[in-house]
Amino acid sequence: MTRRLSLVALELWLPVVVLLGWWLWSAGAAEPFFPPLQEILTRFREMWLFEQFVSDVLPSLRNMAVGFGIASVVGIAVGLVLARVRLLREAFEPLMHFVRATPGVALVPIFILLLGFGPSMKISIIATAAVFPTIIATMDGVRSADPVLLDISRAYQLNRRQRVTKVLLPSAGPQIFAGLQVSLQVAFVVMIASEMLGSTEGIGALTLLAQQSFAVTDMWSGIVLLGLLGYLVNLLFLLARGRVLHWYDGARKAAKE
Amino acid sequence: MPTLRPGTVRRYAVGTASIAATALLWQWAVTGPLADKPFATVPEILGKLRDFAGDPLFWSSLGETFRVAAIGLAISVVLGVAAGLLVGQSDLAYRSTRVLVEFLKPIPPIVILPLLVLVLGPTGDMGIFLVAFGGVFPLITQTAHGVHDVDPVAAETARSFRLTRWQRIRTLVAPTALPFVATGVRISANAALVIALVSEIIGGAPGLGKDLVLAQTTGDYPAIYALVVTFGVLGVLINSALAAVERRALFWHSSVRSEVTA
Repeated sequence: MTRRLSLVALELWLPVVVLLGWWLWSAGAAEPFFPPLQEILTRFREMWLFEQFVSDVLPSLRNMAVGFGIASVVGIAVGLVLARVRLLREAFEPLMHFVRATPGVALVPIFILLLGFGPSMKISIIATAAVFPTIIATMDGVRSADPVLLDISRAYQLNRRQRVTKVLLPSAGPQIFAGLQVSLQVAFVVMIASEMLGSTEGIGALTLLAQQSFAVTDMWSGIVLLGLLGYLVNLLFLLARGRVLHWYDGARKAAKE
Repeated sequence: MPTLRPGTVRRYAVGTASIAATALLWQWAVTGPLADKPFATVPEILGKLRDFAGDPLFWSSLGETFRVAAIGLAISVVLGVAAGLLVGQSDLAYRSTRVLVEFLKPIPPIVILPLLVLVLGPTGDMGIFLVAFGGVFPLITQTAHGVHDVDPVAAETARSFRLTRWQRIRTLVAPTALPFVATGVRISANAALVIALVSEIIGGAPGLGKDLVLAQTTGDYPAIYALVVTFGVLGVLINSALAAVERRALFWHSSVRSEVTA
């Protein structure tokens, strides 16, 4: 018990010192760009809990969730097809690596020209930018499926649907989730970028507008919220991944021991 | 060197044909059903790319974007490897910093962009800071991971031979950690160009990203698409250059060897 407590203390002392240091330093320093942490937290509560929660936080999260959802479904489906059909794969691979190498944020101006500043633009650009990591990871995962496994599923005369859902997708699972995690990060960045470029709605837009109008404390409270969201979204994803892939993590752990 | 097998030739042929088909499809779409939309035709885009090639302003923008990405990456490599070595070798340092690093790592650099623009203005320095911030965390965790991966038997042997700390780092830790560091560098280098462009597109720093926003606001459609094509080509070039360097520097490591034989 004391061992556990000392472990927790060992892990937490530095974050606590950093936060305390920030609090004390910013309370005394008259730095215009670094307002007291206490004020930032007060503004954080006023802005996000819950005055602008419905008007700005929810739309941002909805756009990201819908965009990432579309990217996941389309990405896994397309990756699966490309892995199984050689001609399609050879035709699309160079193009796909090219598009993947193009930063999603650079496509935001084009999507604004095409679709304006509304949610449809934001969802489209999030889905478009986020789909490629999942496609490529799914394709690689399905292609590296154990040939013995495929022989067995043929010997047991599994039909196409069973082969996909019981053999191919599970065996590619770890790689698919690695791709999905990258897609999620891309979706989060593009969500912010799509709001920062000329939109007036959303957390990213409010944060950048606050910066441009020198509302420094508001900007900080936006940064804190975005930082927390970036961390939490990733954490949620890892929890979901752990649930789906517990068999894989267990097998790896057993193999290591 | 990879030999040209029939499969490779076929793959290149199919790939080239599909790029040509995409260009044709694009040309048909933007001259036909999408003619009144903000697109540019293939000859317009190619013409713009040719203009870029002879335009010193384009090259200076490209140079600036590269400068920001390269300096930012260099800073993140130096800081990240140093911190990773420290964190990887000392259990105390590892446990103390774990929560902080794990919290900051998934936060994309675009989040702190407004603060940096406020403090440093829309400048190259702002971009460099952003690139360094984005690149340093993968390098810390990769390096620490690599240091942790040192074979315990080899570590015991080093101790019984009484190797000095420096000898241990040079002959034991470095070779073990290097492939992990290489992975970290590749992750951060891929991100560096993207983050440099973000600092220009959203933060307003000079460079190709700012040119893109200018092209959008002035309605210069061919320039928009020519710039996006440039970004894609740059990204592909950087990816393949990094993969080549990694293959050459780490030819002895199993992760690279299996990649070559596969």
